[in-house]
Amino acid sequence: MEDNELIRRIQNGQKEYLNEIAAKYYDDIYYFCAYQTGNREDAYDLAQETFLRFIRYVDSYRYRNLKGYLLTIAMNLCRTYFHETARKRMGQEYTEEIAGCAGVDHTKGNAPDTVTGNTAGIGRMEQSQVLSEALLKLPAMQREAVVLHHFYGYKNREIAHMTGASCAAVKSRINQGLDKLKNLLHKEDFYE
Amino acid sequence: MNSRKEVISGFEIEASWRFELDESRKEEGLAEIAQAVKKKKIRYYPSFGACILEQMRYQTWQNRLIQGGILLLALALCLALKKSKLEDVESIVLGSAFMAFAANICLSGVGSLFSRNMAELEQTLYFNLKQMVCIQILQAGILDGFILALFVIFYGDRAMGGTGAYLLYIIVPFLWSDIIYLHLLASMRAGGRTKGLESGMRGFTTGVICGMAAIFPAFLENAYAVIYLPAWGIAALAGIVVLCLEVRRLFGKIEGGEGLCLN
Repeated sequence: MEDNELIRRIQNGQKEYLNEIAAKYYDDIYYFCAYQTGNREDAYDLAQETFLRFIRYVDSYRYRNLKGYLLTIAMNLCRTYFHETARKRMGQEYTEEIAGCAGVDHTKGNAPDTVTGNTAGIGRMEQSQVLSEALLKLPAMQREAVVLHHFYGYKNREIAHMTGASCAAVKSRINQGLDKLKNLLHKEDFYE
Repeated sequence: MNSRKEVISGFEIEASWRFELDESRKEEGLAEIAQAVKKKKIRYYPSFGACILEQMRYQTWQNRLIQGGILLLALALCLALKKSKLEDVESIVLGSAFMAFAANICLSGVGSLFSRNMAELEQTLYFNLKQMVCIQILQAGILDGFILALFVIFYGDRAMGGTGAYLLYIIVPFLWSDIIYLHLLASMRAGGRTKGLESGMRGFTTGVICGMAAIFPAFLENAYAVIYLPAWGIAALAGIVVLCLEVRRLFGKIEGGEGLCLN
């Protein structure tokens, strides 16, 4: 069923179709959050929160591009996530600094993502991990633009609408982001 | 597994950017979402256009009938003026008197919003009283604008001083007629259980009075002469300013609440 028809039925009271939308776009939203935040564990929570917010405001939904709308919610959530983790990181660094002075080690590293599965799966995971780490090194706005353009196929105009930036700014972000990404992937021997 | 060929500035890479998802975590997330869906109550949110349409249906059929009658009268008058051999001054006087009368009739829709026991109860779920008054004033303005255009199109080029001068002669009484109506609306309490018809009667009465007042310049010698156009211009500008102040005063009274409460 088309998205417009799904929304029309939902707004007419058939809310069970919200589950259909969640099932349809969960993967897209999850991958976006994963690449935006670099944290695959937290990306599950962010993807869930995206749909919960959508459900909250579905009554007054009037846009044409449902996937774009969901990605915009996810984008805003990822930005909030960054602000919060930056605050926590600053707090943690301060704590570590104090602890370091006191001779106590409070270092907590995030456990690396564990991979289960066959060798081919592990190879793909490594590639995507490298890609994810490289993307994380880009500034947030460039990362957003690159992911939306190259992973989700959105045009510059659409990305400009979603992010609130001008078309020229989006184009520049994509180009600069790709240049940096290319250099980073070259260093990681990403290209065979 | 989805993979996507990326072409980046001539370099071809195969980037499997979609890695394995943890299906159990995904199912947990979808289950939480399903819980939220169960609790969700879908509320009807009409679009802005639907709300505006609803407001247009808010006026009574009597009001619509009267407005339709005014429109037909205006058309008939314009055709009559076009064919008549009346002098310029008489045509201008007729046109301005009619505009002054029509302005009050068209604005009577605003009055009907305050014709119940408490103006605040007129509010709907989607618009507050100020917004409803705005929409009614806009509707009246559109109708008035249409009538004005009829006069100008049918007779404007024949008037002495040209179309611009004719527009000025009939817009000044129209503006001041609106000002008087809105001022009375905000100042007078109709009391008790006033019905819409009495609001209509108020519109009719003030319309007649303003129409008669619009004839007054005809008794002044050369009031419509080209040399006095600047005076008409000043009167029009003053009218616009005072009209804006009256609308602001009306909204201020709505904000205050007690000024318009008819109980």
